[in-house]
Amino acid sequence: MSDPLLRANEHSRRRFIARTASSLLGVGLLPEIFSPCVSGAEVTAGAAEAPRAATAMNVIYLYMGGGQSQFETWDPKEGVPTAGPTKIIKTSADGIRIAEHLPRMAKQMHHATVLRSLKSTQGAHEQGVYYMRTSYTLRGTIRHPAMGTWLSHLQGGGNPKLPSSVFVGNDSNHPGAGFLPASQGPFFVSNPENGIKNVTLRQGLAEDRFASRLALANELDQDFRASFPQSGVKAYSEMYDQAITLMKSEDIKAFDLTEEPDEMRNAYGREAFGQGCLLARRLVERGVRFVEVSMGDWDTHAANFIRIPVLCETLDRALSTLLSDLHSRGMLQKTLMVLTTEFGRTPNINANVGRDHHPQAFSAVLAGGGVKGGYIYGKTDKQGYEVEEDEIHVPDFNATIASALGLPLKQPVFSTSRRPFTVADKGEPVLDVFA
Amino acid sequence: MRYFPLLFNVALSLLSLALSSRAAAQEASPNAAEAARQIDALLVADWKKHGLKPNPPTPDEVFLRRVYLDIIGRIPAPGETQEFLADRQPDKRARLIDKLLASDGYSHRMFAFWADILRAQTAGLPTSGISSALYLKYIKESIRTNKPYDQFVRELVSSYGKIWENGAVGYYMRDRGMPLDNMANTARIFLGTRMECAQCHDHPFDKWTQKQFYEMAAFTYGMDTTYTGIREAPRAIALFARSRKDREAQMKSPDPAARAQAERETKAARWQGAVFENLGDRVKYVKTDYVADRELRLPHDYQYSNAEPKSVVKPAMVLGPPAQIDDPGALPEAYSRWLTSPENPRFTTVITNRLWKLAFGRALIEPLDDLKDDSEAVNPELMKYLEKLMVDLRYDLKAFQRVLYNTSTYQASASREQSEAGTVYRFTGPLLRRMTAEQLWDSLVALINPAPDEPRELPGDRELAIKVGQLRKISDALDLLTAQELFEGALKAGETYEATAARSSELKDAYAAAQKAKDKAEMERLNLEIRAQSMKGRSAANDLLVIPAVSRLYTQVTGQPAPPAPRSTEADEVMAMMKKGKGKQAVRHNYIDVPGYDVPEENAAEREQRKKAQRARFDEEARRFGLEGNRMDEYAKAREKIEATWLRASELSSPAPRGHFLRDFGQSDRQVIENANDQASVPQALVLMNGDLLPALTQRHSQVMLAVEKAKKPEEKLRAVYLALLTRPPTEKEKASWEAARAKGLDSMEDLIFALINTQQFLFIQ
Repeated sequence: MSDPLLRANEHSRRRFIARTASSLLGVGLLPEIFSPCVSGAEVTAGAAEAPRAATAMNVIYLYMGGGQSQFETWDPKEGVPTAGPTKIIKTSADGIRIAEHLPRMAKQMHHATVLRSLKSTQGAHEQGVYYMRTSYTLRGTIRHPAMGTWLSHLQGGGNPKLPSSVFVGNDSNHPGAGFLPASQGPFFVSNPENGIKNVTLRQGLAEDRFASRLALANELDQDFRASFPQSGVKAYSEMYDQAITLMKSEDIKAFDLTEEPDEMRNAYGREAFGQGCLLARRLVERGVRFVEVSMGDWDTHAANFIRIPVLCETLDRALSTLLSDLHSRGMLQKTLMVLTTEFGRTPNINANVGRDHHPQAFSAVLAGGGVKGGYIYGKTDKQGYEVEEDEIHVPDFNATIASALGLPLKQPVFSTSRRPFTVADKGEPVLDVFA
Repeated sequence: MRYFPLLFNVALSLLSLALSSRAAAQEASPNAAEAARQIDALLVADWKKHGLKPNPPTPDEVFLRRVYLDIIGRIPAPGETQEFLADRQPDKRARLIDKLLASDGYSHRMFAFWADILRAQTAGLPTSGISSALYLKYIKESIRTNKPYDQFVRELVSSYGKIWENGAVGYYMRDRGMPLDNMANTARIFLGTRMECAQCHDHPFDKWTQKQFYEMAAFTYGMDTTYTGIREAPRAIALFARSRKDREAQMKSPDPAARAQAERETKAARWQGAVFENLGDRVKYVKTDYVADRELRLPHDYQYSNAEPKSVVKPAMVLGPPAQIDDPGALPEAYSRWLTSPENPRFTTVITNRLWKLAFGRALIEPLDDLKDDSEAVNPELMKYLEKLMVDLRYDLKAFQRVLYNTSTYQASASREQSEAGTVYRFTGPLLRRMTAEQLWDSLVALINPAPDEPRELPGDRELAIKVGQLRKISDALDLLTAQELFEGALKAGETYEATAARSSELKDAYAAAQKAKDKAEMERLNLEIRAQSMKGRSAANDLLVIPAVSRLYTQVTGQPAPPAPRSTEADEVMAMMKKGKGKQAVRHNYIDVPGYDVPEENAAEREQRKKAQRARFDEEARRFGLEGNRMDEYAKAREKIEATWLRASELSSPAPRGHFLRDFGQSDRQVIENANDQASVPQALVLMNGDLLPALTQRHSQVMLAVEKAKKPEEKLRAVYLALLTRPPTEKEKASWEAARAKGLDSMEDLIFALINTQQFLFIQ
């Protein structure tokens, strides 16, 4: 790996990047107390074990909120009562068969590894989602960072004019930056079609008038700034400069989906999730290192077999297009695509023809970023009740993602109350999935 | 006004809010001035010792803006500014402080303060937002009535009962199912002591051991937030267990009818869990219970030699004075008295520092919530004096703030030089502070809305009262059912559950067949029928248990026999209404009204009366602005929109949704204690330059534009904008700058307003 962006732990470079990248669209300048000087000490403390060399530069993380049924997607069963009416289809990868609701994805399976042996300890949504995103259980006293924030904190990098991580979706429970500085947390986009708010001049306002107004503001503020020569005040002057740079910058077009041809936008699907995946590709293309796109409604306690085909239609279109698009642009090699959910669904079909929460055994998918293509890891029993081989606990799963990024798994990072935490708690990466 | 008593009961009434807040005028404390002088003297002594000079006194307009922001959380309106600047009496600052502390704006300001500390969220507690709403109401009410701080904290940590009886119980609900985390939070926010490390192991940097942590937690471990909604459910479930043996015996009976009955009941009994869950569904988690005999045990992997793993922990206090336990059955009481005792020094240190920080920008001990035995205040004599003052004032937070704001030091200019976090600052004046997100938002609101502070009925208040009434009714009714009745009703309802499950199973097969045949219409029909089946079970439980319970409640309340109960809504009717999106109504109207519980929807007459009163208020304002005739109508129309849209931060959801102006400016997410930040970020500049704010500020009937309209000459208009936005007239230099800009084509007031809201002096509190 000769790419300089993938080499971490260079004190001054990280300091520089942390200052520029995050201040742009994140929530501000780093307060001094959090500056990577502090983590400088951590680097030595935790350097006992060198991280695995990175195989992925970026991550596109697709979150299936509500608990995706593994039976109707990645781990279908047949000939048992728990299978339900779902049929199984062959895929482009030898020996891998998935549910009939994902026909387009079936043609892309040679890029992907299916993990069929995930296990979570959390059976309720809020706790389950939190655990999946952070590797820690939900506590009342602290918020832990999600993977994008860890990446930004431990490595930085990416395009300094864009946020280091972006979250696309409406989930209000995302832990954000956790205990790390808000500036290292994700930039939130609720509607991918709207892009970034407030980056264009108000309608009817000519550019020169806008400039004159700012010049006037500047002039009227001179005495105040001279009276209070403080960094907090100065930060605001700098921020205005950066805001105007951003308004004029080309990079911001990453957020503008209208630049994409209609065929491309249709191929991803016009639903928010499809457009979110397209936005993710555009952002990664321009140097955003971690993009999460969430898709909800997988909580199929009732009418599982009616709702899943509809959900899969959206997912199938977006996911298969994303993989083929990344592949044809030569981006798949460096971009790890992750698809996951908080838990699976019960083998038993309930009285409402639905499936309930089942954290004991469920599936996730990885593709690109150094992961094997056309591979299956882990196995559930014939009926799908339990994991039969190669259990993957949630922290192990996250350690695998962190490992692909070359993040130091053992390096402790301290919260404001000086408690040590690591990127995937004590998870062990599943190295077998890497090519 | 049938719902009037209820509104009083549940503290929902805006009427009562308005009435009592006017009455609660603050008597001026004769000692405030003396105490303020003492504080100044202690500061002067400290400056002398360290060779420092005090900051110069502030001009009136700087003081005015600052004290408005600090006490009521927004900048003054032009009228308020003129009134103060025109006042020539020497005691005008003291009188202003009193006025602001007594005003409605104080509650808005302090809500953000407490909501950040308590992590009070609109959606922070379970059960469809109602518990949260009542908890927030309780916090607001405690602020508004200036409840003594020690009493407030005692109520929070020792209250149990249903949320509508006492909103304080929300304190435990906030950490539902996490009693140990709750204890760590209590220690941090009220004692400034960080114990959360000791939750899992001995504290690595402080003296706390894990055992000590558990000993503290044992006091409140009995606080149970997992209420299922049915008081007698545990005993009813025990009856099910006991009756199993009877049924098993009956299965062996020679009588075939008896055997059949036993079999039927055995099948029905299997559904007890589902029945109780469905019954309690709407009213679970509405209560914090105190279970006196709930034992706290050390974890199974306890690693130290001073106790066995899994051994029971006896409550003990690990800091401050020993706790007085008079009644072992009321540990939270003892705990709350110990916690809030003046003998427990950290309790006073923390709140004193919080309020000092609110006024001066930094605490005397930083961080104020990580106190150690050797923590020392930057000015120990002052710290000691302030703590004594707090105790002498009996934790009256308004009285304490009155003293701080009356000091010459608070009324001095903000320090010119930066004082970095972590360095010693000797308080030669307040620090320069960026407005909090709430102060900034509320200031902008005040530039648009001429009456931003007054309590009034908010959209959703009535709806909330209706919902609370419904829940109270069902919950209180379910409480009247005995274990035996629950057992019998659930067994009977279980038969319907069993029957519908069997039917569902058939439907499921039919569904699979339809799916195979790709018959979409049939699939949808079957799906609806399957859902209707599940409604039938719920409906049976409702008919057999809830409806009779509500009738009993009626009789209990009125002493009269209950009117006939409405027929239970049939499953297919509910389905039909669900299709129209009105499923909830179908359920709501399923019970008889019980006096004191049901709050009617607003009727036409009430609505008209409310609109009339509103219009009268708007007309009064319009006259104040000198508007007449047509303009009054136009004003009323615009004003109605303003009233619905431009609400103070404390009246919006807590926290505001992500992407809201407040969040862009660092409002706390209220997931973590005091998580607000005041750092600059690009979205802030973007929203001030390009957002929807400017059009709102410059609409014809905004507070600021009406002030501009009243001014006739250009220099008067300039002055009006300066007074409204920056609380001062423009300097000669600024007048010249504006003239020059005008000559170059910036000819509208919108240009000037844009420029001023995009200055840093607008954002910072001098």
